[in-house]
Parts: sequence; C-alpha cells; structure tokens
Amino acid sequence: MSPQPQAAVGAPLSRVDGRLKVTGQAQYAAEFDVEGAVHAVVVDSSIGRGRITGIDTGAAEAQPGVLTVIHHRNAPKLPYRDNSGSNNPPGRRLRVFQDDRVLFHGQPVAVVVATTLEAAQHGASLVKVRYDAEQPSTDLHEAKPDKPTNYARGDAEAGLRSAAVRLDLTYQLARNHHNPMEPHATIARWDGNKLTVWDKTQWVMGTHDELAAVFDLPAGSVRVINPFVGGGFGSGLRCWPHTVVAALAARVTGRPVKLVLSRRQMYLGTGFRPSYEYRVRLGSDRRGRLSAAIHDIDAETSSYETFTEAVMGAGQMTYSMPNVSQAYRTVPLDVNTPIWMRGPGFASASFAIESAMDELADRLGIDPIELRRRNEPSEDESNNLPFSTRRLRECYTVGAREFGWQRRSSRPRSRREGDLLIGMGMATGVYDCGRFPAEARARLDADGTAVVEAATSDMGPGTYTSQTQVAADALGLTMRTVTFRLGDSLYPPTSPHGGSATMASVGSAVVDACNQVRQQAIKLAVEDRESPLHGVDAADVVVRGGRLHVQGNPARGESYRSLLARNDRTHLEARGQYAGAPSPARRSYFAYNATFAEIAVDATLGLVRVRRMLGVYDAGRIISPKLAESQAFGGIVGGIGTALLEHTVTDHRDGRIVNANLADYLVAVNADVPEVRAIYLDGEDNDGNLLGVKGLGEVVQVGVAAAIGNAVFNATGRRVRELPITAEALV
Amino acid sequence: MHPFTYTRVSDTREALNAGRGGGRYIAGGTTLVDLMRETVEQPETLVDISGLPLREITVAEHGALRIGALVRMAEAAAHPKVRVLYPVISEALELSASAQLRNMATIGGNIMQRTRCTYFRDVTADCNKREPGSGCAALHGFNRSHAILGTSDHCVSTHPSDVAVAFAALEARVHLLGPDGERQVPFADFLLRPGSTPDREQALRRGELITAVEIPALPRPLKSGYLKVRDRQSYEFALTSAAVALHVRGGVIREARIAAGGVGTVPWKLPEVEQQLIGERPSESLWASAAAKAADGARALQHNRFKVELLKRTVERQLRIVGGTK
Amino acid sequence: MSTELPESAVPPPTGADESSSAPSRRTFIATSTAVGGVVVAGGVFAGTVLADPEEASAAEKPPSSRVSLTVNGTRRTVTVDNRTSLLDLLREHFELTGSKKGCNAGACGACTVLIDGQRHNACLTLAVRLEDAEVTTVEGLADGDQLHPLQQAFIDQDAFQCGYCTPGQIVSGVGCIKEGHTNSPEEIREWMSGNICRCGCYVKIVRAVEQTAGRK
Repeated sequence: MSPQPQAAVGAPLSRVDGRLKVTGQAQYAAEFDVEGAVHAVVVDSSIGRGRITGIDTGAAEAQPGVLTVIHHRNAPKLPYRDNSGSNNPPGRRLRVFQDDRVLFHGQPVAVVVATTLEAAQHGASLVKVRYDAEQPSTDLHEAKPDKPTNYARGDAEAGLRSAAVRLDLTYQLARNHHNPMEPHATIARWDGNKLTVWDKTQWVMGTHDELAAVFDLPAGSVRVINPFVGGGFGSGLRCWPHTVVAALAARVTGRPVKLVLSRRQMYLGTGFRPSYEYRVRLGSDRRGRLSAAIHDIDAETSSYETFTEAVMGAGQMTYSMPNVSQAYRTVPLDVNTPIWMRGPGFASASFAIESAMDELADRLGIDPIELRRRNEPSEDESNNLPFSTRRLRECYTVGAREFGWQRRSSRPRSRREGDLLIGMGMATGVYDCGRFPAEARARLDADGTAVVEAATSDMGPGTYTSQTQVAADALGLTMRTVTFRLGDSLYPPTSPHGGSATMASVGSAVVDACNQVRQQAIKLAVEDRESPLHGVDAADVVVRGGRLHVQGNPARGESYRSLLARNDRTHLEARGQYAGAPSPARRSYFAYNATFAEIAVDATLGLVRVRRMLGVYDAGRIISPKLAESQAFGGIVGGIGTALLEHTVTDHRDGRIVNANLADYLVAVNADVPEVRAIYLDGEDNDGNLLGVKGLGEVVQVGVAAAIGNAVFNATGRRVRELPITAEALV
Repeated sequence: MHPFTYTRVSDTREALNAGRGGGRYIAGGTTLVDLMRETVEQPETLVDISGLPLREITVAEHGALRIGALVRMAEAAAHPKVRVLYPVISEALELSASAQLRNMATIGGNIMQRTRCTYFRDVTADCNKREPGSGCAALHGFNRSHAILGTSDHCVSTHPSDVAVAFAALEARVHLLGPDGERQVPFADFLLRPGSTPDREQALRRGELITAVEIPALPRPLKSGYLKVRDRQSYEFALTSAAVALHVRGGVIREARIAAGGVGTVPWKLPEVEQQLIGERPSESLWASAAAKAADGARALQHNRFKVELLKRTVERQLRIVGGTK
Repeated sequence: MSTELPESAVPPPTGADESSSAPSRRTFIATSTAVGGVVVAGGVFAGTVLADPEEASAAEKPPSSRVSLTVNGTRRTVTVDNRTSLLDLLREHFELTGSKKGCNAGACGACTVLIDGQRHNACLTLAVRLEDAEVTTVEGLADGDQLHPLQQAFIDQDAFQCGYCTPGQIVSGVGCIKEGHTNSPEEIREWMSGNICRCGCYVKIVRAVEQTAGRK
C-alpha cells in the first residue's frame, strides 16, 4: 500500500461542526420537529421500595390536553426479549409498567401523555399513587455484599506480613452523576410496525438492539437517530427505561411522543458512578520498593442488576510488586443501576491507590515521583505481556519540569500566603483503552467529494472532526471535501462510543474503507490506458488534494474527478472493518498520565481552591491536537468536581436522592478552574490499530482527584480519605 | 405547574386590589416560577408588579439609602452610591446567584426568597413549612446546609438570601404598602423565625406589597463588606457568611453592625458580637474574642456541626478584613 | 424590521381537538380505576390542590394570554398558556431550539437569552410577561453568514465540546462583554460562572470572551 501523505491528521484544526454548534443549529435528540408529536412526562415513585397499591389518574386525565396516563395496570405487556451482548448488566432489567414492584426511589411508575408540555407536566403532578412501602436498603456500609470477584498473584498476606513498612488505608468515594448538560430525551414514532426514535445515546446500535428486544421487533424495523449528543460521560452507554416509555407511549397513543427527562430525573434513571469503599494495604521496604498490596473493594449496584467495572485493573499493573490480592464485591441496594462514568473503574481505584502511594512516600520521606519510578514495572505483571508503549517515566519528567515540581516542599504545611496554605500534589493515571469491532462505509463521488458513514457518536470529543481528518488523509482529499456522518443506526454498525475506543475502533474501520476506495481509484487509473498513471505500479501512486500522482512526481497524475468521469463511474465505494483488539492479546495496551495539581487551602475556613493543573499524557498518536487538548481540560475539570464538589446524597430513611439538581449537586463552574494545561507526548502505539492511537477521553480524568487530594495533604498536613474533600474535613 | 390566571398591573392601587383578592405578586420570578414548577407554589392568580414605579435608588440628605423594591439585584449592586456607601450590600449582591439571575431578581423578591431546603422543595417529602403538620424531614435527614440558629423542632431551614444578611446587619427597614396604607417594619421583625408556624415567613399582611428597603444613616466613615463561604467558588448558596460594618473613629470602634448568613432560619443579627467591639481598639485578639460569641445558642444537627466553628471563623475573618488589624 | 405575524402562526395551546382524536383515551380511563382500601404508605405524589374530575372538562382550555414580543428582530404575536416559559415558547413553538434546557431551574445557564439587551435565564421567565420585550437568542447573533465575533472566537479557541451549553455560553458572553465585566480573566471567570459547561471548557471560554472583548 502506498504511504499516504498526512495533511489533516495531527493538524490543530477547528471543529467541522463548530458553526452548527455556535449558531444553535446543531440538533439534539429532543429538537427534531416530528410532525404531530405530543409530550410525555414520567411520574416517579415516591417510595424507595415496595408495591404500588393504587393509582388515581382521574384528575390528570381531566386536564385539558391530557391524552392518557399509562401505568402497570393498563400498559400492554411487553415481550422484553433477552438482549445479551448489550450493555445491560447481568440481572433482570427494569421492565417499565409491567408490574407493581417499586425497586428504588424515583422509579417510573406512570407516564402522562398530553398535547402540550405544560399539560403533561401538570398532569404528572396530579397522578396519585398509593404504595405499600418497605424500608429500602441504600447504604453501602450497611448492606450485605455479593460474593467477591478475586485476583491474586504471589502471596499478598505473607508479603505484607514480612514488609518493613505497612500501610492500611480505607478511602470512601461518593457517588457521582454524569450530569451531561443535555438531559436524556427520546422522540418515538411508529409507522405501522416500524419504530423510529431520536434518542440521546452514545450508542445508536445499543438503543436499536434494546428496543428491538423489548418490543420483539425484527432487526431493521427500528431506526435510531442521534447526530448530536449534548454530553454523555457514560450516561448514554445503555438504553434506559425512559426510552422504552417513550416508545410505549407512542405505541399506545398512536402519536409520535417526545419525552425529555427533567434534571431531577437524570439522577433517577440514567446511571451514576457508584460510591466505593476502597481499602488498600501496602507493604514496602524502606527504600519504597513495594512487596505486596491487598485491595478490598466494595461498590454499589442495584438490587436487580449487577453492575461491575474495571476497578481492579489499576491495582494489578500500575506498579511492580510480586504479591497482589484483590477482592471486589458489589453491594446490591435499592437504587437504580450504575453505569460507567468517565475513566470508569480506573478513576475510582486511582484515588485510593494514588493517595496511598502519596501516603507511603510521605511515610518514607521519598519524593512521590521518585517512589513511583522505583516501582515502575518492565512488563504488565498481571499477564506478563510486554507493554505496547508505556512512557510514564517521560510523563513524570516532563510534568515535573513543566509544573515546577521542584518548588514543592516535601514537608507539608510549609508554604503559606496570608490565610492560604499552598500545596502541590501529583498522581499517576492509567486506562485500559478499548478496541471494539466497528464498520464504516466510504463513498467517493464523481465530483471529487466523499461521504464516510458509521453508526458512532460524538458526545463532545470531536468524532465528526477527527474522523474527517482520518478519512481525508486516507482518501487524499481536503477536509472540506469530506463529510463524515454518524448517529444513525442505518449506518454501518459500531460498538459504543465510550471506553476511549472510538478512534482506534471506528477510526481503523474508516481508514480501511477509505484505503479501499483509494486503492480502487488507483487501480482504475493504472489500468486505464487514457490515464497519465497508466502502467505505474499502484504502490507508487499517492493521492493528495483529490489528485492521484506518482510519488515524488506530482506532475504525472490526474484528479479523482477526471478519472471517474472518463470511466463513467458515478462513485467508488467500500465498506471498511475493524475486528477489535487482537485476540489473544500480544501486548498490554494502556494510556497513561501524570497529573499535577497546585491548590490553595484556606485552612481557617476549610476551603480548597485549585490554582493550576497540568496533565502529561502518553496516549499514542494524537489525531486532532486542538480537540484533544479540550478533552484533557474536560477530564481535569471533571476530576476537580469529583475531588472537591460532587456527591450524590441519598436519604437512607426512604432512599430519596436529596440533591438531585444542579444547585445542590455541585459541579465545577468557571470560577473553579483558573489554569489548566495539557501536554501530549509525541509518539504512536501501533498495537492492533491502523492509526497509532491509544485513546484519551478516559485517561484524562484518572488520577485527577488523587493529585488534588495529595496537594491538600501537602498544603495542610491533613490527609482526607473521603471524597469530596469539603469544609467539614478541614475546619 | 398548576394553571393560573395572569394580570399585569401598572399602579400600586391596582396591585393592592389584585393582592387583596388573593393574587400572588410576581416580580423577578426567579424563586416563584421555580417553585411553581416544582408545585411547591400553586398560586391561582399571578399579579405581575414589574411595571410598578418602584425602581429608584435614592440617598437622603442625612445619608439614608432607599432601594426600591423592584430594583434588580444587578442594578442595586452596580449603583455608584451603593458601592461607595455600602460595599457590604454590593458585595452580598454580587456574590449571589449568577449574573443572569441578578439581572432578573429584585431586591423585594430577594428578601422574600424561600428556603432552599431540599425537603421543602420536594413535594413528596414531609415539610411543615410547605404543609403544616406534616413534620420536618430535615431534622433527622440530610441537613448539611441547614440552620444552627433560630431553629425549632418544626423547621431547621435557612433563609437563603445574601443581601438580606447585609440588610439585617445594617438594621434596614422594610417599607410596606397595604390596603390600610403605608408602614415600616424593622428588618429584624420582617422575617420570622419558624417557631411552631414555619409556614409564616414574613410579617406581611394580606395583600401587602414591599415598596422599598431603607438603610438608615450610619456615622461616617463606615467600612463594610460581605464574606461568603461556600464549597464552590461561585454560583452557590452560602455555607456561612458574614456582613460586617464598622465605624472607627480615633482608633476606637464606635459602631458595629454584624450579621451572619447560611446559619440561621433568618439572617442572623449578632448583637453580642457587636457589643464586644464597641469602645474597643481593633486587634486580632479583639476579632477572635468577639467572634467567639457568634455561635452562641447554636443547635447543631447531624450534618452541620462544622458550621458552629465555621461561623465563628467566618465572622472573625470578616472582622479582620473590614476592620484591619492595628 | 418587525413583521406582524398572524396569531395563527403559532398554534394556541389547546387540548380539544387533539384529545378527541386520540382513540385509546377512553379505554385507559376505564382501565385505570384506582383500588381503594389500602395503606397509603408513600405519601401522595401531587400537591394539595387537586382538580375535581367532575368539574374539569377536557375541552376546557388552560388560562392563556395573548402576548406580542420581538424575537431576533421579528415581531411575534401569540396566545400562550400562562405556564409556558420563554424557553419552552422558543423551543416548542417557535422552533428556535438554540436556547437549551439544561436544568429548567436557573441553575445552569444553558437557556441564557438577552431580554432587552440583558442576559436572563429563559427557563425562569414566563412568556406571558414579555409583552413588548425584545428577545435575542443565539440564532439572532450572526449577521447573515457573518458570525458574531464571539461565535467565531468560540470556534477559534475550541471553547466547547458537546455544544449543548454553548449557545447559552455565547449569549451570556455577549452580555458579559456588554456589561464590561471582562477586565481580567478572574473577572470573566466570575461573571461567566452562571453557565455550566460539563465538558469543562472553561479556560477556553474565558479565552474566547477575552479575545472578543479585546477587539471592541
């Protein structure tokens, strides 16, 4: 294959959809003007567990504009076919309006459909539901855990016993909610037995499969459309009950139905990052060489599904040590089911592990970076595979230099500015980047423009832009002449838009499709007697700016347009594929970071404020540097929230979430984020993908909370082992 | 949101007529519309008073400041006289809410704000303020943001306003107009502690309208300022706050006006702290000993114990910021 | 520059014709009768005032009002349900979906619009109150194909990711610049804190506002 010049990839381009977004023309799920659509508003249970004993819908139905109220007593029975292979965790998924059981506070118990939004909202407030309430169990620390999932190498207990230095530390992590700015929303329309939904999702195929399963529809009779996703961070990785409710309501009323969750409902039915209790015991020698670690990890899940995430990975491969044991226990509670949230598993584990490393460094009097260097493994000790690339040492070196780490005093509480104590901290982040099967289609038209399609998503990282870059270079076209389309289940299928997998997976499929199209064109040219390229070895032909020419001899060639016109071809087309991660794995494929924080603590008032943050990333090749920088900033800002602000609070008396709104569940605002910097190390990682990428959307949030917590310790001498770190802990 | 009829009034007489008939006044609407959407508020008639001529800020000759009830928070904060004479008011306003909300909300509406208590705002929870006799879910629930002063077994919610704390400190007077004419109520008497009737929040008679808030003249020079302590750097209600105004002459504190926010069921005036300061010379130790009185009588709940100490430190810090240390 | 639109340009909220055309409605009334005589354990979902079904009629219209306002230079006269917020009027009736609903409670800023030149949260603004008001949404900022400088600055600085808060950020930024709260990055940060960006683009938003304010 001819080496294509890379013009677009690696260039700091602005977003191709930027204009649509800054002018308000980008259409999100709830914004499609579907003729005749009526409005649906969900009624949520006001108990945390029990049974519905009565529903009085009279007042609601008497309201002008209310069409119907649907609930378990009148809803049609739905097939709810099994949907294995989806992102539904093991268990029995919530079946909307199919029985009288209430499994958690805020579960959908009815839906009001009305001709106006106002009538539907008012109607929902008038539905009277009576319950036989039971005491819900919502406290991670009180409930009985499931059997653990275990991992072991060596003899961790013995290793710990014989260690010169031992630490036994327990960290508490609050539940976090994704809170994308766009609420989850669905518009559903039936045309006979065909269902079309405009649904906020990170995976149109996932919604497609789930709706087909729930309503027992043949594949091909469901279409899911979602060209713009107003943030996700994981909340859109599975098809949630409200999407089924919208489709059900449309079925029952015979009208297209629009259902938009309220911000409050975003806390009740679209998943969350589970709270954790993470106990870690570390053993090391006096020089800081780790000998053993024991991890006891408890995490929330729901009573009806067992949600797990990759919270064990970091403890197995981040640092070198002979003895590791881990026990990961899910704790079923009367809550709705969690779902992956940015840096899933790794972000949570990293707070415990990276804080513990900082505690060990302090105990031993070793610089935290030096401690990490002393425990840098030469292979992945969890599976003895070589690392594809692992440049953490370089992350440390660059980060320390750029951040001014040498200005950090190793003695806590030694830098003061007036009422403020200043501290620096750092942490390591690792993330097991996903690579999943994907397909894409590329079509080169006779006018020299191309359209590339895949059923992936763009929740904000810039899939539209970066895939256009990849496609443009592979086709030898300018950015302007390539259009990338996504967010439609009619396009070639892909795996979920998450797990930092999109570029490696979809990008590889796009490259494959575009390479095929380019090769078709080259073949056409070299075999065409009338082409200036006739007889040239195909391997010597490159395409640039839509013009095929002999490598090193730009004068000899012709454009796609003339080639296709002369050959009476309306277009050339190919379907590309990516099979997923190599199996069996040959290398250990992770993205890495070193994250640095400088914070100021008003120790009298207990307030922590971030001053500046730096992330240095080993994330493989960077396709779209301008957008990658934005992603890094986003991960850091998300980490600031986890560290200092975010905490979903449940009232264990009745299982009610008491801060289900953006005034009480605090996310970072502009004033919380003064200075952020991101550095991506140059380089590529060619393990099992055509682009040399590793993925970066997840790793950028891993370690951030620990870096901030470690900085708080450096500033104050106080170690806070519970997130978020708030005034209570520091006053 | 429950259906309601809407009337717009153009003079106060019209307003009072509508108010007497049970209409609910709406000014900026930032609290009321929010609570109507949650069905916490279900007025049958909204009387839009935003067209009334209550948008002036005037300074009397003797130095008293009068802020019309319909002056927007942003306007009041930016007003040159307010900024110069009463920085504590400007600061309290600009540390409130967001720029957008401050462009909408009015001074009268701000002091009429209702509590942010999560159980009050959730119509499926027990709340004596919303539904007298139903109980107080916050008392033994999640009460981190709740009050430690002025509470009762019936209600422990805080008054959320910042500028009301400044008004309480400065001993403002609320000008009211009702069917029976005009009257003035001292700020300390305007907002009511919950006692056994937490549903009664203001000393307002039926149909009465706030026309202005007046800050009485204080001896000059007067230094003042507002400190707000919160988890987030901006756009959040206070955990604790302190409004402080000091008149220092000849190196001696002659007048002190101090109140705290985020800790009381109403903006919490601190007369004991004021008394400690009068006649004394500013010093670090004075600030500390005076502020030590700030939480006297506090009754902490399960999740807000930290506020007792934090309140003292907030007041101490703000005394130092305003009073300096000599 | 104003054009008087006929009232029918926006369908008045009504339930009469739609509900009678919904064939399944009566079936549901018949099948959704409440079962009495059981413990009311959870508390009633709704508030205290409940409409009596005997008194209400599905044909009755909710209280509505006629209002004339100017949106992005176009004069519009509509009859709105009194409960309709400006945000819902824009999004559900005027097909101006640029203004976003993020929280519907004044806690995120995604709905920020200019009313008579000042930035407001459209979600907390009842449309019925906007007689003679001038509303500018993100759709009204560009001059034809020429983007507003702040829109261009958002693109240049990559001051957004998912784009959902972006219209509110930009309109808010226009207000912030007009107010003159752009004298330092600190000041911009504080005065732009009423707009939450969950993708975390704050640093770049500040740069975009700074870039634009500096040109003025």
